[in-house]
Amino acid sequence: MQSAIFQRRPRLQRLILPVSDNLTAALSSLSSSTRVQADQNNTLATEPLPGFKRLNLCNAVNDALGTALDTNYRAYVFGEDVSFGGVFRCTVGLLERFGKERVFNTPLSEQGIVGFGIGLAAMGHTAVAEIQFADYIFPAFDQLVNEAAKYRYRSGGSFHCGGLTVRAPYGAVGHGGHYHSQSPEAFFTHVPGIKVVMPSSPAEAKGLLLASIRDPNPVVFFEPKMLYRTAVEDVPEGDYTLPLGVARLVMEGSDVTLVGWGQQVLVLQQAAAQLEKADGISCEVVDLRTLSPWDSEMVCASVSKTGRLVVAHEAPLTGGFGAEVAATVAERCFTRLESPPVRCCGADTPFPLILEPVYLPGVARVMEAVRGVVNY
Amino acid sequence: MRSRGSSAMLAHVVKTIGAFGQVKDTSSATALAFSISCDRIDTSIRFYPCSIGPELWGMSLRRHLHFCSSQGQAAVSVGSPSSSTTDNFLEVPGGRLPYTSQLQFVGGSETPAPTIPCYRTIDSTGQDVPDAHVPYPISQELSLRMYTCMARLQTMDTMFYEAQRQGRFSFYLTCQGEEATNIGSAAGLDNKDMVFAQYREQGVLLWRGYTLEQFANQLLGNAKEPGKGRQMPIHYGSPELAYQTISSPLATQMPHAVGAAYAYKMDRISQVSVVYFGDGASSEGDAHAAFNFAAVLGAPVIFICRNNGYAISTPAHEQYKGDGIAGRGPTYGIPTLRVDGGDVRAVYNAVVAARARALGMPYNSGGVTSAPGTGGGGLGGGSETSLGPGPVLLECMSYRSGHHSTSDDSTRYRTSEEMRAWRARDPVARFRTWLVRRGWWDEAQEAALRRTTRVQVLEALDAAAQVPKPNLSTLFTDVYDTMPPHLEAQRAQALEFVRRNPSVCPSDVPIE
Repeated sequence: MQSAIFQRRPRLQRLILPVSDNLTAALSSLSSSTRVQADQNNTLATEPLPGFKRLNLCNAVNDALGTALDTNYRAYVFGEDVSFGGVFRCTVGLLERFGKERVFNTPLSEQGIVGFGIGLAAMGHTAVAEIQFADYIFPAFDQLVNEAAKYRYRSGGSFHCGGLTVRAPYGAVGHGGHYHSQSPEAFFTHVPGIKVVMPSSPAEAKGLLLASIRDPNPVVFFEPKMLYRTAVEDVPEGDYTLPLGVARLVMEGSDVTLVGWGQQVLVLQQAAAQLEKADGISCEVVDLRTLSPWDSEMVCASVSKTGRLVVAHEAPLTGGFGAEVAATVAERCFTRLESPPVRCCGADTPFPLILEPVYLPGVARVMEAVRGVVNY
Repeated sequence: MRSRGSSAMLAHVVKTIGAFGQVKDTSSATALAFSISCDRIDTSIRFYPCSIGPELWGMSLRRHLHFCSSQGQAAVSVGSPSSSTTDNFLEVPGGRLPYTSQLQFVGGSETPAPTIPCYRTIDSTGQDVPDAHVPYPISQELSLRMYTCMARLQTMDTMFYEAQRQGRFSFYLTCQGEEATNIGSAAGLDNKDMVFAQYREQGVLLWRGYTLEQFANQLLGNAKEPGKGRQMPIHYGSPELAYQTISSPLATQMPHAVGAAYAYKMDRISQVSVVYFGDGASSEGDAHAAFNFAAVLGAPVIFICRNNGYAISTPAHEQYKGDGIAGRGPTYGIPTLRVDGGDVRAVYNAVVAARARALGMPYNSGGVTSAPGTGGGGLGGGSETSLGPGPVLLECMSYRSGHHSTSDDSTRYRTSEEMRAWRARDPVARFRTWLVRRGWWDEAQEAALRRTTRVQVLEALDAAAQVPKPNLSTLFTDVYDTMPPHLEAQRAQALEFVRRNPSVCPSDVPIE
């Protein structure tokens, strides 16, 4: 299922910011959960492997968009500020390569952007629409829920807008406050007819974005903005996709299953590393990748093995997608569970500025949740 | 480096970044260029045709700017324009604005913009308006085709409405009073132009060949209707007839039509997309977004507003304060025409002209060039015009003679006098009078047509009632292109549950 070159890629390399050895200092220096570091034993090789390029997540997205436009002359990338390269530089160079008919700015209207994209896709073209921040996707909510999601079903398959992909940066960034930090995935997982995909690393982002663009269903693709620059990975060159609806086993473990997506996966990896070192707890970390439809088979198989579940996300606790995972696990793995499934999430508040580190399910809080279920 | 080359480069940089079309003097040019970030200079330079690489130009340009600034000298000498030009206009990224020294509001009740008049070629008594401009005359054959379609539409509507009242299906809405808008516009289009309708455009489907059986199948939600009984009645759709499936939310289809038009433009196909919407729907944000996107992106879309005076119970004077929907078009940069929606020949002419204009072709000459179905000379490539493809807005003024739907009783919010007055202006009767005057139609033909149509509608309803409903599994198909595992599981569960409890499932639904 995964392309051969992708399977060979090295594990996620160290991020830009170094963290000290001392556990307490490390935890206190993490003023936001997103300033994380992968396993310190995994240093960056001097050169990427042949056939790989060292990219951050923003570059990987850019690479995927270029590939998508290169391989399909009826594909377009549009949205606010896309022409000059985008406010996050994800669309740099695309205008020069593909021209202003295929890469263009739109007026400032999310409902227009998504509605226009639906129309393009309804005619069989491939529309990659950018919403500048996931926090601003809501004017397009009607178009996504009432139109895009139902386009195929309501017409009995006579029409569809499968060529639509809506990209939006989401998640904590350290200083985003209410309107530059939201994780709105739960609103969209609740809508039959669209898919929701959230990559956790540069190589994941490129493969999942290409898969989303080519999937014959409308897809909402949330990109972890904190990782745009801070996550650096060796990404396979060329054209590859990763399967949608299939979760990724990030780390194998035996005591507890940690489920997350997007930038939260790094937090889980960090917590798992610390828990192994400090408590000898062996964590199995699962990256869902696709939230709708999600790989419940894989998660249930994992929890049936470990007997414990902690699911974590930045979005507020109540009604978050973690509830879906927890409920499904409780129903299907009940006799295998050693402790109740637990959710470690953002507080049920708007996303705060100064108190972001308290709001977020950071490494410390995840570790405490894991200790809770292990010692239940 | 103070070569002429870098001065020219600087002038180009200034122009390309678009802040100023003409700078006032050299020192402000320097100040401007200096304030521009290096990023933007780089981008600008990349587009400047020159033999030296952009990096070198960028470096030398910046050095040039620094040097001049340190010397207090102008970095570029530009021709000094006449002072009257620069004093009378404000140059901003949006364009060039004349000044005025007078404080005078425009618009609003004291100084309203002039009301856009209503184009009409046949008066309310069915007589030709003298000296009317009719660039696309309608032949007897076309006139009769349009009339019979209008009359069939009217009878079909009446009978389906009655059928709903008798409980044969759950919901219906008529387009009474708007038959001319429906048929005149449909006739003016090419049959392959993609239509995005609101819900009161069944006449467009009828014109294009949707059969009475197909209408009845959808109304009854049986297994033969493409929508598989998933939506309420009147939510028709037909890919064969280029008519997108109706959805209930209002105005959502408007940005879709813009995207579809852009698709035609990119494919270099000589078609337009057409979107119908009502006076109420035009208040939605999607309408504003659609108008603006269409104009900015040059999308060949025809916006047809059916202003029938009411949005359920809300009359137009509670819907907007300005000059209707037509009044908005010009402010978006969209060529606009207001039409008497009860005059089928005016609507037809308006749409044919609009179609040509949308494709960037000549449209007012009255020639055959832009007639529907001829295909024309391609998008924007017509030799006689330098207009590119772009949107057109038509506002067809009419009156909703019927209730909003079978769920509405409009006598609760309008007077019978008003309704009677409008019934007397029935567009079908008006056109019939015009045809009869020409000797193209008579009472006997009228009676025969109505009788035949009534019989056909009843037959269609009876036939549709015999068709079984879609089977249970169709609840779970078409959510995605293929059925994901969780829906497979739910489908299996539902089948198993219904087999054990058949009473929960409608009796004419096959349990498979």
